[in-house]
Amino acid sequence: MKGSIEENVIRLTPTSDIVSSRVKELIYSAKGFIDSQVAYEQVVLDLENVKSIDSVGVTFIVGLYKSVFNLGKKFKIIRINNEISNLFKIMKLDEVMSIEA
Amino acid sequence: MLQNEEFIHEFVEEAMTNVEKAESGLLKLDDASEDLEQINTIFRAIHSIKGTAGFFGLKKIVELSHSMENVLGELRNNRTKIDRELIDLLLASNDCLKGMILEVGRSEECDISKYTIKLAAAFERGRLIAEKQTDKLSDNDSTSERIIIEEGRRHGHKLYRVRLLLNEDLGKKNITPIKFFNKIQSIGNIVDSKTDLSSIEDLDKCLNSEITFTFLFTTVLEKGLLPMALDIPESRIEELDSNTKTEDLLNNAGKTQPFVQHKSGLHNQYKKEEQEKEAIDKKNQPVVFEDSVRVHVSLLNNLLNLASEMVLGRNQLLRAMERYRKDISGIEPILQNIDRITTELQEKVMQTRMQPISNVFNKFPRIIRDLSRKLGKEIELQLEGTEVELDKSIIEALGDPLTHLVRNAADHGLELPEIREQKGKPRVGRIVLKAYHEGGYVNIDIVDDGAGINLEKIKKKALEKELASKSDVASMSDQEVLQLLFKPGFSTAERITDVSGRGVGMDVVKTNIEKLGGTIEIFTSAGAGTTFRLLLPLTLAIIPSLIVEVEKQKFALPQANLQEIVRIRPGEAARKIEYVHNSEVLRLRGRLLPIVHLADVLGLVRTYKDPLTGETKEDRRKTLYDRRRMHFANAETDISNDSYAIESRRSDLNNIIRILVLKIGSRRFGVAVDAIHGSEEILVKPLSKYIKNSKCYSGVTIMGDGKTAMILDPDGIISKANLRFVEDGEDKITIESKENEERLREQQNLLLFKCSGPETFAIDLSMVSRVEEIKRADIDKVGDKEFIKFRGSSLRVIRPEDYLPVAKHESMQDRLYVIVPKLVKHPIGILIEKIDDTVLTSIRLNEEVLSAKGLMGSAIINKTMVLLINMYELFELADPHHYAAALGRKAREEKVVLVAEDTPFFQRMERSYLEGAGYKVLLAQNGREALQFLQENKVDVVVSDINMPVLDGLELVRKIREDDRLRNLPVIAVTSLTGEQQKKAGFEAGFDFYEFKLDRAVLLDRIEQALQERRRAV
Repeated sequence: MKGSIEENVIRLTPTSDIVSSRVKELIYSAKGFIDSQVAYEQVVLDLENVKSIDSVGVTFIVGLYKSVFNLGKKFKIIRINNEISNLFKIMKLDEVMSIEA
Repeated sequence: MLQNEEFIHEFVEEAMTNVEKAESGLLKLDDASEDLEQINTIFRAIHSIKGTAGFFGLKKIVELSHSMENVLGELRNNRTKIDRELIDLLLASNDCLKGMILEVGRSEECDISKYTIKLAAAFERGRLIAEKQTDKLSDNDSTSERIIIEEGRRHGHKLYRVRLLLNEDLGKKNITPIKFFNKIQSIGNIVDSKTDLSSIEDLDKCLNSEITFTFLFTTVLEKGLLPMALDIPESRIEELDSNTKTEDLLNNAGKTQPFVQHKSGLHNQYKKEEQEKEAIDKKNQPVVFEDSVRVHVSLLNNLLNLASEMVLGRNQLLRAMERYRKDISGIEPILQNIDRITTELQEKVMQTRMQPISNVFNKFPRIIRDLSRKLGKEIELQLEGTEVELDKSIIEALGDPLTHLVRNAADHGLELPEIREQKGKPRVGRIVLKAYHEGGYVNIDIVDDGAGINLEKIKKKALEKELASKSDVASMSDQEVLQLLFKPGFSTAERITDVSGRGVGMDVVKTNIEKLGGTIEIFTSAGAGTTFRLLLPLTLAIIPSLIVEVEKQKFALPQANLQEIVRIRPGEAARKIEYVHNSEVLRLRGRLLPIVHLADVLGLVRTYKDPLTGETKEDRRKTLYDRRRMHFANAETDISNDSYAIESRRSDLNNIIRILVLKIGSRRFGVAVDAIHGSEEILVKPLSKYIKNSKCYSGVTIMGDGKTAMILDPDGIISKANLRFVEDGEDKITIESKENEERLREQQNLLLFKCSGPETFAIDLSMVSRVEEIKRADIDKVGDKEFIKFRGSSLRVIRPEDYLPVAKHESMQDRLYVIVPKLVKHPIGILIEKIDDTVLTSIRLNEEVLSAKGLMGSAIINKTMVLLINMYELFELADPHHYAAALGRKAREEKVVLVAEDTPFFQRMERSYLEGAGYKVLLAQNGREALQFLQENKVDVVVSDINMPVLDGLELVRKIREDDRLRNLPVIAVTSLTGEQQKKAGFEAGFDFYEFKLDRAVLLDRIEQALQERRRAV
């Protein structure tokens, strides 16, 4: 997963699908960013490279959202594809976190 | 239990920040409403006050903040509706909190009951309303679901509630959720759903947690078939009666719950949330090493003073060391280093004192809110440029004057909503506070779209109050009438309200702004509104200034006011200086500016040196123009006397008139001085109390040479000299034509560099082939000429300072640069010491301030005076053999080239190229002028720009082609329009050649070619 910090925003960009075989690595690197000592206000999860997601992947995104929320920071998902966006709508996750296509 | 003073002090500081944060948050809620983030911010601010106050045992503060927090908590959970009344209550409570914090020692005596009771009521009431509304909402929400169920039932569908464990039911079977939902949507419809995320706490534990997704589902499938179809255990599927109330279908929980499902009693739930709030707040503040520290202002002030003294010391050091620079080896880089570091140090220290103007602006939303209620007006406030920074001392002093002006705008400026509607304006009046940088100043505009200021009313009032006489008023310009507002004791308000119009104020506003070194201007338009413009300096401590001399005394003039320097040669005075109502005015690019002589304003006796006896005598001629004319009259009578003629030439230098063009706000005027010494950063020291009230000075400073100089106050000069200015309308025309001019002015790509002296030079990059870095040791000397090796042969290099009237120092620098020119037959390198920058800019070339062979003139680029080098003239000076000879050869041909070009820079360049090649050159400023020339003169070739005012190049060539006599005249376009389309249009219009600006060799080639073709044609 790629990560960058710019203007108070941490941007996390997974480089491939969010599936169970990759989630451990994703958790590890996401934690590295959000627990860093850098001042930031928002975490943006960029799903540009993500075509598919499995149930563990959904759990990871919810976990990431909770961790960020617990730190009092904002969380947003961007560049989500239609399929995943529909899934999140069915699950009403779009009522909990901010999601942009 | 008030203990340690210092801790209490810190508490007050921190709590005040929080109170202000809460206030601005509440005001934002007022506009945007229901912004969760905003509510959270307010909540946290109040919560943190409560926490610290609790530590100090400040019970009343705790009690009030707790009540506020309760209401905010309801808002945060969307259980209470935000309305104006509630915001009012919270604002009032916040004010009370503020009062208690400011008077923390007496906070326990404060009666807070009227707030706490209201807050408690709001807390209860809000919840009741909220509950009712939730009911209504869920009814609405469930309507669509109801329709789906009804629809399903009609088609024989059954209703199921399915509980899906994401990892258990999908993950383990390698089914992706997307696939699963696609499948169920193919066999039925999802009516409603709910996702329980409460088991996932954070990233750490998410892998061991489960997401439960419950959904209502209608399908034709029988219950027995569903487990198979969905691959879910039968126990998780429950068939429902489709008549069940929709809200109940999902187990009383229709919405996704991020944290908790509340089934417990309300009280328990609040308690739990309170704990959560605490937890979140604590987590919000992880151990982060702060990247800022709080220091006391006095420390910053000390630093600033020291840095200022350091600047002074540096100036003195540089001045004192000037003559030893050559003698002490190695001192040069040390001095340069000290110079640079001092400047940086000063800048950084200044920065520490800079604060954003939002610190003042932020209090206005509240003020406007209160005012709009009080005055019964609807007002929208718009803040712009809140990030603009000013020195702390200025920010602090700005509060009162700005408040006064904003109150005035709301009270006197804006009309009542009904009246606005009658006038066809929107009901809501608008006040804009706008800060922006302009010319080294920060401008603050207070703009209202109200009725405008009634000038007649001001005049009447001024007469009534005997602030001006009838004849005065009759002869006043609009601006002058408006200035009456600033007279002490003036108030136009018909009714004196507690908002404004107490008869004191505007004069105090003006005095305060002037104390800050600023000025204030008014622009008003009947029916459309008024703008008050404050012009403020960025800082008060160190300012760049120009040192000028009059009658052997030196004065410092703040550069922020300086626009340009005009040098008038003897003989030009008659053309440039004119009279209006017996006063001298300077004609500058079509605009008349009033001028004064600095000596006259300051009350110094003007003197002149008698050319015959050498004595200094009092100069009785009062006008600049007179002096010149008389001088020439003398010179003519004594023209036979050689020694006098020489003397007269010498005194010509002294007789050059130097006029500083100053600008304050929209007012421009000229000040004539005897000499100009250059610029210096000066430290402003206040005037001693004995001369504090002298209008013309704003302070005093110690210059680099250790002497003192008074700092001139341009505004004071205006009032002392009683200068009159033209009206706005005329100004606007000038501005418009100026904008046009700017648009049309073309850009040059310039290389800025320095030689051994302090001057900055520029050369057009189109004439530079390359810039080589060389070492001092690479220079070979042959006689008095210098050479370097360049691409296998030797290249002569010259130092511009050897040929130009500029400062020259023995250079110690080891690394040098050589500018290798393009397009010259006998290349000579130009040796320079430092490359400053390359800039793409359109310059206003001044050929008068500094004119010498080898220089095209000067221009101001990035606030620095830059000398533009005329390369060919410079080479001619350095190598007259090659360059002057070339000129002689061609001169015989006597062909006339008409150059139509509006940009002075290119005019000058083209003329110098063409004259250098022996052509006679006629210059036209635009197409129309060119046509006129063509009617009156014999011209062989026309070289024309395309973008020109009045008549452009395309029109010019069309007109030439239409004219029988001129039809065959060769016309060459020389332009910066490089597009193919534009080129095509050029040829279509009738140009013979189309060339880009500006290549000397190509231009000369094209002219030669054009002439030959013409010869053949004839």
